[in-house]
Amino acid sequence: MNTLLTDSLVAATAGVSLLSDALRTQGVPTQAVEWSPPLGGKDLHDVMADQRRSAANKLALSKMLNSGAVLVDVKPASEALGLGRGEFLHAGPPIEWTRASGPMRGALIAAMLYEKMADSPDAAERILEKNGVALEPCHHRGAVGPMAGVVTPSMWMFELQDPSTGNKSWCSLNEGLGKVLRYGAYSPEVIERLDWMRDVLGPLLQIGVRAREEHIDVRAIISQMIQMGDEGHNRNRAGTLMFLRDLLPFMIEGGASSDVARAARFVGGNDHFFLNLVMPACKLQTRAAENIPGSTIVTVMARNGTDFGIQTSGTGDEWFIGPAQTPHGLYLGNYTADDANPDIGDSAITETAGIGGFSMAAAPAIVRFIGGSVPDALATTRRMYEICEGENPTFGIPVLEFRGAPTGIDVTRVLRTGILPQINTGMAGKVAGTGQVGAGLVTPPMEAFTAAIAGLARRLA
Amino acid sequence: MPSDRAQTVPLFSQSSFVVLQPFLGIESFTNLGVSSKISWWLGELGSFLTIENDEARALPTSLFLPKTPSRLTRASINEWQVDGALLGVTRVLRTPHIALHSTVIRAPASVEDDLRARIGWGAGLTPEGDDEVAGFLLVARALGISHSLVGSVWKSERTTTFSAALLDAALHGFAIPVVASAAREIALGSMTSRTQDALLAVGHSSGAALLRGMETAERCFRRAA
Amino acid sequence: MRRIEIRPGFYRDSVSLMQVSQRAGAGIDGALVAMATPLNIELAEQMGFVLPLTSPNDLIIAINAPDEESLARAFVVVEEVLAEQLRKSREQSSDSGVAPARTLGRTKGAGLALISVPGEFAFIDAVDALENGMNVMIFSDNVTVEDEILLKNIAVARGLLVMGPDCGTAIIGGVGLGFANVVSPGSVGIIAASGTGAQHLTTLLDHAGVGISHCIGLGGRDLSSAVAGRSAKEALALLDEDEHTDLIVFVSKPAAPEVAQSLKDIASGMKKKVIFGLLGSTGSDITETTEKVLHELDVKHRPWAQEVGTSSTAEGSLRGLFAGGTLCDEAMLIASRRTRAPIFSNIPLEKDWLLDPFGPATSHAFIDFGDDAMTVGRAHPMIDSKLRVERLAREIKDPSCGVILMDVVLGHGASPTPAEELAATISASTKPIFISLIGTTLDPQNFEKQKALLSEAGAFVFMSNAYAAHAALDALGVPR
Repeated sequence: MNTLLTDSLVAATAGVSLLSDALRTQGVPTQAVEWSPPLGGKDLHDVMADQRRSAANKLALSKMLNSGAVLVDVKPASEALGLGRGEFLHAGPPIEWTRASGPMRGALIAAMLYEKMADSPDAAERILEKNGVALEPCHHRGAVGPMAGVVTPSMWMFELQDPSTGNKSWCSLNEGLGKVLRYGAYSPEVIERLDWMRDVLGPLLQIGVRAREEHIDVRAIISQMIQMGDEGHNRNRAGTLMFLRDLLPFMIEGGASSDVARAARFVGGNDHFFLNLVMPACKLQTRAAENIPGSTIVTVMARNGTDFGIQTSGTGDEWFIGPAQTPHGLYLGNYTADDANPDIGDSAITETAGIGGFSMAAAPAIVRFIGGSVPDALATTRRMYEICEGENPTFGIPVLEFRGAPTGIDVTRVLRTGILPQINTGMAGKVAGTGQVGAGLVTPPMEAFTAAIAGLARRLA
Repeated sequence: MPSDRAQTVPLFSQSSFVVLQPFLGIESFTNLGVSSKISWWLGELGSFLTIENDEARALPTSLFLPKTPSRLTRASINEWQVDGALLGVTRVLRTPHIALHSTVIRAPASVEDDLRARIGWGAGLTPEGDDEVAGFLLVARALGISHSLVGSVWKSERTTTFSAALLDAALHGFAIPVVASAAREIALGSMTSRTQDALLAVGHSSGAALLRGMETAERCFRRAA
Repeated sequence: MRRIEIRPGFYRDSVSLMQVSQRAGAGIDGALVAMATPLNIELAEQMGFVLPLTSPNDLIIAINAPDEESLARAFVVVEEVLAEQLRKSREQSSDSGVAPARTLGRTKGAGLALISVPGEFAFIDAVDALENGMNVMIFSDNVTVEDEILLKNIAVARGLLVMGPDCGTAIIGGVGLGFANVVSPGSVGIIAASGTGAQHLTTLLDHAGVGISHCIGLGGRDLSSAVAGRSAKEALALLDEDEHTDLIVFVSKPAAPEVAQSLKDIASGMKKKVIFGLLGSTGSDITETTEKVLHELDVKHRPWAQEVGTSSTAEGSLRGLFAGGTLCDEAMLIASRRTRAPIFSNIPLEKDWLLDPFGPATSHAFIDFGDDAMTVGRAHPMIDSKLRVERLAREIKDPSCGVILMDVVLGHGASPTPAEELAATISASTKPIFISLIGTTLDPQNFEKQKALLSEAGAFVFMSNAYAAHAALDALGVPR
């Protein structure tokens, strides 16, 4: 029964302050919304009028909250993804060589050298210029890759699974910092390291993972690391150590050799190692909400160094694209803003799942590396609740009294508030092979969201 | 709204409070006392006023202000001088009211004597004895029990001015929302546990005393029926 | 000298911006601070400014000042007022130091959402509010009828109520929403498809000592064939169940016949009695409806019957200058019936009687200053009386004008000093001026005080709009 006439009045207003002022003088508790005109025109109006949207979004959120992610195996991409010779995957929406930026090109060159499809960078470039390899987004295969995110058949991949849907997702092994393939470096040491990872690290990790009776619960580690000052995108230290703690005994027991010490040092010495497990776990979470007709919840945010692409639950695997923005923040050494490449990587899948920049309030330490202050970090997470369908109690943020991470980005809310998802990211140098030049904040372009609402409007019955 | 009316206040309607005849005159009020949530005032023409800021505790004698002032005068029918600022009435709150049932039975003399003796008994702003009598008055009104407990009984020196004003209010069927609900439910024969919990939470011991008084009236009714 | 600045993507509502314009423009040649809508761009161009390319989400700050110093000062004033407004709204919105919500769906615990954003966007906020379990009052107009129907269907499915669009008045549990008067609690429940109609009914009842439980607003189009009284039906059901309501009164301009009939059918099956006060040529005026209610309640008091006009007669036409559309309508109907002559108006009873409200009048004429065309770029006449005062002065000087009739509406949202704004012009009048004063003693403007000021200035003041209209016609010697 409608309690409008029986309950004591509590009001909310949107519009002229005359009305909220009059309510306050009458002693009525009133919340005045800070309103601004929405973007998206008729498309937004029509999608808001869609009767399926509300229930569809609630379903999308609940599927995300009920998803899980456990580490089931480690194997080469050729086995895991059926990648054949000359088939490479990359981060972000589809792209060709001619439009690719420095780090992406560098990574593709490194991939060619690593797969011995060319014996020099020039030779590799010539083949790539003629489209001599098949390029596809990682997302098209259910995989994700950080930075350039290039995956080749002989790279070893983590394989994760979501018990709630049976879906699987994959991600390569993190090479570490500095001059690495994912930042577009292709020097001999890069290739040497990749060779070691294929010959030693991958197989060792596989032994350890297969030796465990119970799968490592990656989602549970994420839940704990959020409470230990990590946010899963730019800060993964606690997660990396917890992962190592869970796996190392099994790597040793699994009958491996003195390579274990090198592997343990490699993993333990790379604060970002766990990123390559967080990302596929987040992919599983957002995938669980895919293909719900009428849902305006974002399931993918990804960049290829040139374009920023998003996908929504109600529009299947259609990409909505806009220009990738350049991150701003703090720069390492003598690097400046001029050295930074536009936004790159599938790691925005962390924000799509409610962690990373969305959970910045859980990682105050990070503000020292991306610029900004601790209050900014809290304000950012609070702002993200405005554009999300709900919260994920599994990822409780301590300083917000364990309030769940803001989860389920709603395209209609982004357009209505003008608030863009906040991403916390590393910055790649725009010249191939430079490596990381800094870390900072970036958002998707609004065009991606206006394109998405047009796509959602097209699908209205 | 002009800026000198930055904090305008809702005022209970005089018309819902017939007997006390408060606020007819333009008068200044003297502060008699303050507790954490409420302050009470006596007008130079004899009227009684309480000041508070929570609708849920809306007493029939109340004026709502954000905080207790030091000076208070009624300047006109809808304006108050509060610490030098002129505040206007913005809203009239409905006072919870128990309708008077036509007489069905007469309260036994023993019950009346007992209640009369309780006036002023106990410590505090509203002595427990007064609360019992107030509870009785409300339910008696709802059930049509006539009695001789009237204003003169409690306007003797024995009790606080505040409590006497509340007894007057109860006599005429006015009470704060939770007490009015409880009285209605008891008169109908069934009080929900939620209402009972809310009633018992009123004041320190007021709630329990009000309940006792209400049950006394209900028992009279049942015995006579 | 002129200077113009554009702030891209900087939004403020039109009422706030009008305040900025007023304060910045004080003492100089002109100031326009407004969103870059086609209309405002035209206004700026008319003021002699040349605009760069803009979008409607950009803010225009255009100042025309006599010299460099006052020009600079005006821009400073603009900054200060904008900052002050932002600070005030932030202070008021929360005490916990957390930023205010950006959408209605993110507010906590509200049972009612009041929406007054530009009409083209109101639908979106209303959907958000309904999906989050809130009842909605839409003050905005310019919402399409298809959107209104859709909103009301959503509301019905969720057991919620939509008051509006174009609903300017409601009273829920004694709380005045929008333009509403301060009234005493009582047992009469009102359902109104007219804002000033509701205000007049509640104030007359208050003068007679009768209180109301609630006044539910429906918006101007709820009783059309298309919308079919969706909110009206919900309102009837709510009041039938409401413990504080004993009698229900329905006030509206003429409804679509089948809708009126369906409501009457519903009413006959309800627990409580419903009195229908449908205005219009075959219906009753608001005073008559009030008298029906009082008769039903067996209340004899009719304080408006004692008020008097003047016995001296005037020659010429009746000129009505109104802020309330319904009040203008009912006065026009009375004038039309008694004079049996055309009554020209910008909201005419007959198509042929259309009047340009900015041009002169030659015979009987009524102007509704609250009509859309007259509130472009300015506040509603109940808030800003400037246009009406100017016209009043004009009519006083017009030899063809015999008698003037006006409404002055008090209550929340209306100007705090309506009588004060009219008094000087009224005292200078040689023609009789009749005023219906719509308000209560408890209104912030204080009915008694406003009546005294207007009477002292020489106007004949009535609490009933219908009685005021009759008195004005009496003064012209028009037979009853």
